[in-house]
Amino acid sequence: MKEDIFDNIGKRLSEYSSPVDLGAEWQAIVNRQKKAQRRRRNVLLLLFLLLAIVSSSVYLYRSQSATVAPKASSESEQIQTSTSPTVPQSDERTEVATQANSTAASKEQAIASNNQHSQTNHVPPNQLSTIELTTSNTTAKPSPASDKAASNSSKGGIVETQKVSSNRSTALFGSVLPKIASKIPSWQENPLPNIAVGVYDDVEKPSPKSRFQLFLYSGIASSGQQLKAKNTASVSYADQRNTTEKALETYTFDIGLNAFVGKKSFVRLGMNYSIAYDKLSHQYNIPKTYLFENVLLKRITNRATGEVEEIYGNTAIEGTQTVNTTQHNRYTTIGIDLSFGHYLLQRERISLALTAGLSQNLHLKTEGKILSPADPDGPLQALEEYKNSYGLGLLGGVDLDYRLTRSLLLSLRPAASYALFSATEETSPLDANFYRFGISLGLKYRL
Amino acid sequence: MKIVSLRLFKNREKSLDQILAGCRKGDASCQELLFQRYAPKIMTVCRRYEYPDFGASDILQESFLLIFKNISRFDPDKGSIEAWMKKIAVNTALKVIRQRKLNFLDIESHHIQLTAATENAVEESALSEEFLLKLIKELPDGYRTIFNLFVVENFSHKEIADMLDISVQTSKSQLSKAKKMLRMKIQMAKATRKNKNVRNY
Repeated sequence: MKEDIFDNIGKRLSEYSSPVDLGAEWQAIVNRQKKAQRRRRNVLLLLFLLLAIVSSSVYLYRSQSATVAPKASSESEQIQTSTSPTVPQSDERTEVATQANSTAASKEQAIASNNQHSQTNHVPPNQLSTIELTTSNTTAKPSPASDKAASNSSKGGIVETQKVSSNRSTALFGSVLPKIASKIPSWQENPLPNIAVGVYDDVEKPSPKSRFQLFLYSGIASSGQQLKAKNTASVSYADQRNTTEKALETYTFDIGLNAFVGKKSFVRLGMNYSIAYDKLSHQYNIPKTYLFENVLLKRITNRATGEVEEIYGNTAIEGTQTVNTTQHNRYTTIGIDLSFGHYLLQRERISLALTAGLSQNLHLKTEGKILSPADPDGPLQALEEYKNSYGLGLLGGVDLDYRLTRSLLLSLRPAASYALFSATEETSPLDANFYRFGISLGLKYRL
Repeated sequence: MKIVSLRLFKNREKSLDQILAGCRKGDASCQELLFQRYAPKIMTVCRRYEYPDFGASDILQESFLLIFKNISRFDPDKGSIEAWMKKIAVNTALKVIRQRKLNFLDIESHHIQLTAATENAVEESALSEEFLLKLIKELPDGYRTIFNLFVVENFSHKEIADMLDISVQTSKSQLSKAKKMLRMKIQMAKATRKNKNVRNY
């Protein structure tokens, strides 16, 4: 009989239709569908862009390698026919040219030899202005090819060298970088000016001989905050708060410059921007008194008359009520990163570097709102704990690079960071240190 | 204007099969018709499972987005569209419950004893569905969820235990306490109403 009560309730509720504001609810569904469509479209667009970047890079690399090789060899043949039978390879000729270019006397000789050999080299007239043909005294640093060239010159043969400067990179960096380079002794061994030798098509392209490399990363990460009670008395507060620690969805963007020191090491100066979305759930158990009015308290039977008198009154039952609140926060961080990196692996295509360093972070104002059953649009209570703060942080990561072209690298970068300072107010009983683990995908471009 | 009216009239005349076929093709007007036809019943499910931070409206919207997305998977041979949609609504709510890691709290026993002692046959049929929904909503979250799943959705304790990642014993215990508490509430409500009737008389 008792179970019939609940069967009946179940049956009635399963068949019951609740009043719904059909128009408003349908509009909300349509809006959410549109939002989901936009998100899908953006993801597809991003994938398409990534695909376009990768494919165009591969295409550029292939077209470059296809045009460089035959031209270099044909040019070599031209030089061989016009000068001596042994001519150094392009890189060696570069060094020779650089050395030779330092003296004014050799320049005069170069003009003379240019007059002699321009007919056989068949250089287009519009490119002649950027090409210098010089005669070297072959005092370049020793190498097998230059030794050979030296022996040729000692035999009375003339070695012709060519120097082609990258106009674009010279315009951009020619005024600043050489000045810096001249002050660093180790860099003078491998001078900065961008040189592309013997490849006429490459005149306008920057050469990867520079010490500097631009990088650009975009990635996703999981952030969190390490909560610590400032003193033992406030531990209970942390318990009461019953904060659910969750991984925060974070988006990161990095841009900066690597400056190589030697072949394997580099110093990285970058700027980082990250935005983390947080949803914290709090649960409180609040004592609550359930008050029932006009409840049958007792029945009194009158012995004389036999009548039953019912006494009604109020009764209260003490219980607890569970209140759930949700706090939506947004943490924005801007960081200036200074790291040191070292390549552990450098193959033809793949390279792997470890990086570690410090970051000067600025946590910007936290935005958000608290949703609670009692006061959905209530004040931002918990947000008072956070402040605009700045301080140092540790960071580290691994750069896994794949060479797409001579200058362009595709880079995958797992990285982690930890803020050494608390992002909460002095008055807050808790310290909150932000940390982040993430992975980024980006491009590096050797200037 | 006439054309629009005629089109609306035509839409209203569509059979369920036509509406479902339109929904499978992604026709927005058919989706709207399906929503208008079943939203009130799905809303009842949503109201039984709503939580402070995930209201009935949120569950309803989320459920219909899933319904439209997966309508091609609906097999009419396995059951009615209404039952399938209700199942999706329940699963949507349960997904949130699992994320929230719901606490299955016990209310102190003397409260329950009080009600058990005064229990009489309850003519629950005299209470409206809205009032019953209100009473169920007042139950603690754990009690309410298991009561809904067992009594209204007709799941077994084993199925509930698997769905909520709890033991069968917890499910049974929570259901028993939920029933006792609900009986108490109904009893109180009946008594209050009776008293009012006496006064009116």
